[in-house]
Amino acid sequence: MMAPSLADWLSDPRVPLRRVEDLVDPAAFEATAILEQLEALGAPPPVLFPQVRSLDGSSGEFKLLFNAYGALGSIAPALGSAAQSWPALLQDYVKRVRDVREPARVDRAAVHENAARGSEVDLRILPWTRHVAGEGGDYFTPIAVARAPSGTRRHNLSWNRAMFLDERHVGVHISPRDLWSFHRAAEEAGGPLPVALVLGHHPAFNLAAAAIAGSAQDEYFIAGALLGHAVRVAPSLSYGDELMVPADAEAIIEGRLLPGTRVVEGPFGEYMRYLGPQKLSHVLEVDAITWRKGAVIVEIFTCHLDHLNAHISIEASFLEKAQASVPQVSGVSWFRGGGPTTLVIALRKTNEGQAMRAAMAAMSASNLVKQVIVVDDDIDIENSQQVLWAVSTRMRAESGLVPLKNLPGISLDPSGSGPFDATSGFIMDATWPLNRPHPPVGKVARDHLERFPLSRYRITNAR
Amino acid sequence: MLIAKAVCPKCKAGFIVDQKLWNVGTVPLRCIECGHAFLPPGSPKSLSVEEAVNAAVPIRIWKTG
Repeated sequence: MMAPSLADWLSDPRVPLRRVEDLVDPAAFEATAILEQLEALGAPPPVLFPQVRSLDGSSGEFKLLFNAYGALGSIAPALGSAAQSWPALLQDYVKRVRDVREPARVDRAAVHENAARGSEVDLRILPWTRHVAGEGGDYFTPIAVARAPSGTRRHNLSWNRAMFLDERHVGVHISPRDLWSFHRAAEEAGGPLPVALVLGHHPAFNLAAAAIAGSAQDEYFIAGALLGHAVRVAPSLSYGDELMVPADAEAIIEGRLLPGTRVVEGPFGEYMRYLGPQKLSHVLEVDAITWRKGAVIVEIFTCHLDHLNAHISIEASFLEKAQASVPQVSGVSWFRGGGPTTLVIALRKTNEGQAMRAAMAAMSASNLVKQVIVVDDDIDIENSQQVLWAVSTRMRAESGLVPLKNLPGISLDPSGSGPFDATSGFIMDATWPLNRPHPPVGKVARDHLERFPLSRYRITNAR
Repeated sequence: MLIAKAVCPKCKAGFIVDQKLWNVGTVPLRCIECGHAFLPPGSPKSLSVEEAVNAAVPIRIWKTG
């Protein structure tokens, strides 16, 4: 059985897919203007734009898909989960990601059905997108695949912002993690780093790009775990076995990250909901564009829920770390409405100190989180009002609030400062102390609700 | 993330710039509206390009357009 494709996910009746049948111009903000209005109506559905204008003005060769990650109902089927809440989905994710699968080599790849190589390459055939006001150019949000230039030779997957520069060049912003290190090693050796920008694949494949993996882990294995099947990989057209590409991708840009070269790139809308600034980024010189017939480019609706939820792999890592350290952790969630730098942990506390230990363990997973609130497991951690109620009524700052100084943060956090984006944070223990009784929450008892159901009564509008 | 606010001298569009890029001062910023390239006024020129991008090799700036 083959690994599921994007087409399989799109045809899944559980996925609340919408289609916009009209021709739209994504470089003129037309697609995202539609998305913004849809998001105002509620949980944003995935939206397929079958007719989009490319940068050269043509239409019809490529389709665009946004909001693959906008709603729980979209992501859960991608991960083979029937979860009805985000915390439950994270529990399913943690189980699924453990079943890593070795990629399967194939010599014929669907993504190689069409190709433009060398002098044929013109990136303007693609439907580059402008997402939010203030961005500095036309962008894609692809998955970059690169291979460690020495040592393990493992493949790394990462989500990157990629700005159109000209017919054969792309500006790629790279955070100082694995891809950055691979390029630096190649750069110091005086050569370029081959990279494939994957412009569309099954959403589970893309989620692997945000996973926090061990430094020796080939991330195609993780993509296989999330897909539930081995990823099929094929030699790239331009670099052969030197860079294996996902055979079932929709479209791929093959290129070399140039050594000793940077370009002014940005601003760009980021998942913190702010614009990230114009800065110096890497330059990709393109050797080939390949695509399957009817390719669907999967694009992120930046600064919106699609963008935040595309990071659930990181959120799941917080859960995994916290539960490994404190098994009484029952769930984690971003602080809803507050963005990804604040994490809420639900705890079935049995000993004092568990809240602090769970928070420290979660924070060890990533620089992303700087603030952790720990609550009892009767609190709905997806409900920010309930979380703040626990903070208001169960925490004493003198003992429950622990400030944290000089934390490494992330470069996209606007509150960060200093040359290495150092920040500060806190751990907030908003759980009841175990050594004294606490009052019950006032509620009408369930048997009374059942005895006096609303439907029995004639309630009229008094105005 | 420390940022500076740039204003294009040609079209007056405002946009945000990474403080490190601003502090280099010798690399032209690119206006998000009209594409005009201009040097950041008042930059302290306190960083080299290599320091700004944490590179171990000499860096050239790729020119757009």
